[in-house]
Amino acid sequence: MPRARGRRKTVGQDYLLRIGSLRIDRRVQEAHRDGQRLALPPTAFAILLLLAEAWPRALTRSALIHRLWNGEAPDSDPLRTHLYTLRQQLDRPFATAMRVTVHGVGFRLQAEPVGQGP
Amino acid sequence: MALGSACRPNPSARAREAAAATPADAVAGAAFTLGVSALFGLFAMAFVYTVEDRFLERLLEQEAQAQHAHFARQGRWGPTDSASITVHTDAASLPPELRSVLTAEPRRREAAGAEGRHHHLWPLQGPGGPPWLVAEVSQQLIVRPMRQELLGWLLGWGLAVVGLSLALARMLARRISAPLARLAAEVELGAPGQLPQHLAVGTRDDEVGALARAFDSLLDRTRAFIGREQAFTRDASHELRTPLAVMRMAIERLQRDTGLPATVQQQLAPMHAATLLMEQTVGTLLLMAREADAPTLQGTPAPPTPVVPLVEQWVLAHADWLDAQGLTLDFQLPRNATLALPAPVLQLALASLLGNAVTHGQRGGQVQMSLDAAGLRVSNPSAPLPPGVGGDYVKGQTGGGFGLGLAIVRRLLESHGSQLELLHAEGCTHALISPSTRPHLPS
Repeated sequence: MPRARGRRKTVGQDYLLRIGSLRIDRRVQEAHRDGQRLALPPTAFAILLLLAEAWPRALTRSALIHRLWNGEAPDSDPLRTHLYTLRQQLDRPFATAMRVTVHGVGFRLQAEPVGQGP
Repeated sequence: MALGSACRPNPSARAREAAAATPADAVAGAAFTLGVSALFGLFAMAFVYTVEDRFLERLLEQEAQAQHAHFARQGRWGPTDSASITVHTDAASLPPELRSVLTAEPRRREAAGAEGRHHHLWPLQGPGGPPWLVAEVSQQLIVRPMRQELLGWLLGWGLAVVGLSLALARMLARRISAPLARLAAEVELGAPGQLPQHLAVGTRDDEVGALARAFDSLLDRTRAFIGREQAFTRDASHELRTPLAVMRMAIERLQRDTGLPATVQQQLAPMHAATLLMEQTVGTLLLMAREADAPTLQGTPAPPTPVVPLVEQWVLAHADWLDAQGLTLDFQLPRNATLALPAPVLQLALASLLGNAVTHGQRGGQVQMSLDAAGLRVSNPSAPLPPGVGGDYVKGQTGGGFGLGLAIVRRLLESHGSQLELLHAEGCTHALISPSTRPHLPS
């Protein structure tokens, strides 16, 4: 497996998260990939931020639901719509997918292999 | 370790019941007492009849002496003193009812007659023959008129004595068996986590006291043995956890090293799986030992634990292993479903069942997990289970641990009132955790 690269944050810029080509600015609540701004609604952005903070670990569905809704999710599968939105913005326009599903029970971000990022 | 909260009958009542005399004992005692009463009643009746007969015979004997003196003086029998006594010079002059009796039984000296008559006979020494003195004594009999009253009196007192003896026997039996019943109740109240102590305190220096002292000694030795075993399990598990974690992390670091030859990488996967299993077994042992140290919570229902988060955590932690085995997952678990088991217990049970499914399941197969009213079920295609799986120290055909982990998990679940069932059907192994209370399944 090729060595992945990524950096969680830039020294002196704690509000910035960088994972491969993904850059998240917590200060202004914005995310960019390959310099392209991702139009993410608040919940989808919150999911992306949680996955980025956990990177390279994965987060379970239960953990995401607990962190987003504090255990009081609005329905039985509250993540479905938001994950779809996230994938449409984060992965669809690009050559490789960053959001990886782990056996249907968890999610993690995957930085692009060396040479494929900007 | 906490025991299950199954209801048990009131031990004191059971002990009293065991110590009390049974109906068969009471019947035997009553029959014996009644028999003794009847025997002495018989003796009493025989005594009064004998006294009466001897009294009448004495009268006849005196009359016979007078008649013999009269015969010696005058050569003939004289008048009798009593109108009820008559002299018969030979058998032919006797009343027919006496003649037939004496013909049949020449030595007979007493005979009942018709219409309530009763005769006593006394042979005289004289010519002809033989002459007889006959006393018709129906008016002199004392016992016969009061026979019914006498029998009733004897029967009444006999029954009263039976009642008294039963009451006395019951009281004595209770007094004698009470210490034994107390001892039985205290022993029965004991549990593996709460063995009874100081049973001999307050007992007398008799057989029950000796039994109580013997119990105390046995329970002290048992308690010490259990303590040593728990301490060993706890210490050994604790000491093994850290080196196992170090081994696992080292293997995981090596697995991420892409510079290693493929043959080495291939050997790392089984090493990693074996280390995970060892960690799981050691964790289970440690949990059991710690539960044994903790105060027991008998009768306290286990807190409900959400199932899905624990399953998801296990899958994420073992994702690489699942990938290496080419396994897919199919989970039918209601998101907020809970099981009435403490979280560490459920976590270890899940780890054991899923770990076995991965270790012993068919490569490339599907692991299914579902939760319904019956409980939590894990199913996967696999070879048939070895005989006795789930018992102590049963090993799988591949050499991997089947039994020890499962046996421990089974005991752990049983100690929390849940059951673990294992069966193999149509090429699939099914493991079912049935909790003591129905799973909570939100709609």
